[in-house]
Amino acid sequence: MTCHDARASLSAFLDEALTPDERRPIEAHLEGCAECRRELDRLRHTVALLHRVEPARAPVGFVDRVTAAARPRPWYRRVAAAAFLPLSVKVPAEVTALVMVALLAVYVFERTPALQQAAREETARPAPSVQLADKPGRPEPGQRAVPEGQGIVPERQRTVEIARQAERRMERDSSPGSVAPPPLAAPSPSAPPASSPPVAATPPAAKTEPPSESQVGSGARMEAASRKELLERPPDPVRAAPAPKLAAQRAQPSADVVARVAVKDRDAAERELAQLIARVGGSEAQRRRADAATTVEALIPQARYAEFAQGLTQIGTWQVESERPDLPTQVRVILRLAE
Amino acid sequence: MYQHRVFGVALRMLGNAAEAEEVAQEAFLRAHRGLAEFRGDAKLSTWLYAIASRLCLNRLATVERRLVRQGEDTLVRLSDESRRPDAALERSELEAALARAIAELPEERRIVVVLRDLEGLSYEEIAQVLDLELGTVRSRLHRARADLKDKLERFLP
Repeated sequence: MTCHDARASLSAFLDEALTPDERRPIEAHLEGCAECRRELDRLRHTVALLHRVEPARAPVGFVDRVTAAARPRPWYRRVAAAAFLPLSVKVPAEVTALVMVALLAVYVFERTPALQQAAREETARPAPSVQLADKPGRPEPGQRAVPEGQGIVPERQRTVEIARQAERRMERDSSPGSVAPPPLAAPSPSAPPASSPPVAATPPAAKTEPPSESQVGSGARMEAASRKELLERPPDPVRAAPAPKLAAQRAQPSADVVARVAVKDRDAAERELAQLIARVGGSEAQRRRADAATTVEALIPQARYAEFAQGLTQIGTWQVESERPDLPTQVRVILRLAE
Repeated sequence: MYQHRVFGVALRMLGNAAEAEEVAQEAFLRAHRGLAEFRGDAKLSTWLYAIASRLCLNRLATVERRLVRQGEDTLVRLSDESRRPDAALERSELEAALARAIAELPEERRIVVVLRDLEGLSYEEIAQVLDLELGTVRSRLHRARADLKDKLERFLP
């Protein structure tokens, strides 16, 4: 064996990776060759140096990254979780906003009859905002007497009394509107929750009761003040003059016509009335059914009001409690059907 | 455990930690995807080494080809870069010299010496990993060690 042949196998010889048959001639050569023994020695030291190389370590987080990449679902879930994390804040906020909008929509919807009325009055009259705000406060003697009249439940009569007391207190008070109870609201904080000024007999006014229940103190004053401000605007001097002081308390029905209808069968009368309203091209704004009577508020075109009045006589015996001398194009009629 | 080994092979072969991590990660992903192909008679480590080694050699082959196209200057520059192993490895002059000597080996010899002297695989395992004849493994290892012996002459007694 030559040195060249022997050296080619020295590495394997070192690793004891040779078969005995391969190993024997190498051993024989090494015994007689100092140069090859030196070579084997250097090779052994080289391998020893290599063994001193520190094993490398994978970077921190390597396994996590591999795991994340190897499992698509958790990875996507994590990404999705990260992406939708803001939604955990946004969604409740949006839901809350949605609920609030919905509540507002319901509230506005409930007030729609009054709003519709305001819109109609706007087309018919010059000062619509005042009409709306001033509904109960307009000092029209003919109407003012009405709500205090009969047919109102006893509780309302009590309310009227409370309203009068409040009015007297207000008149004594020199600063107008400072403690004025809202006209649509309870006349004073001590008033019963369901109470309202006489105008409460009219459905739209009654509709405004819910806010009034909570509006005592500053809220009421603010409302009264804003009404006062509105009242100061109308061009009518007769209205404008007493408005600041009295508008807040004077509860006047906003209806053009208020009437009682004595009927034999209230249910039937209600149906007939609905038909009649439809026949004359009117619209029923509101209907409230109480034990004693059913209050129906309707808008009747003035041109067909006579026809409506005629039709009413067939439903029952009706008695006008108040009627505005000059009826607008849309006559607002409040009828109380009682047996 | 395996991650360090696979990363170690990639680092020694590529001489760059970022690239080594990339390749090691790819190796594990391939192993994960091809787990069904894994033959039970082979060691899992051998299988992982095989995937990692193939990836490293493929990558080096690509780089080499690119360098050949770009010319000799680039090759020299890369050679310089390859002499700059990971900073963590340069703990001592010896370690630096070892790293450099390994990095300078031709890759087919480098992979054999890495698997044998750094990872401790047997000749048979290396033959399996690299899909080589046992004799080829033996001769490549011998040439690699002989190269290293010459390069590390000054550290030898």
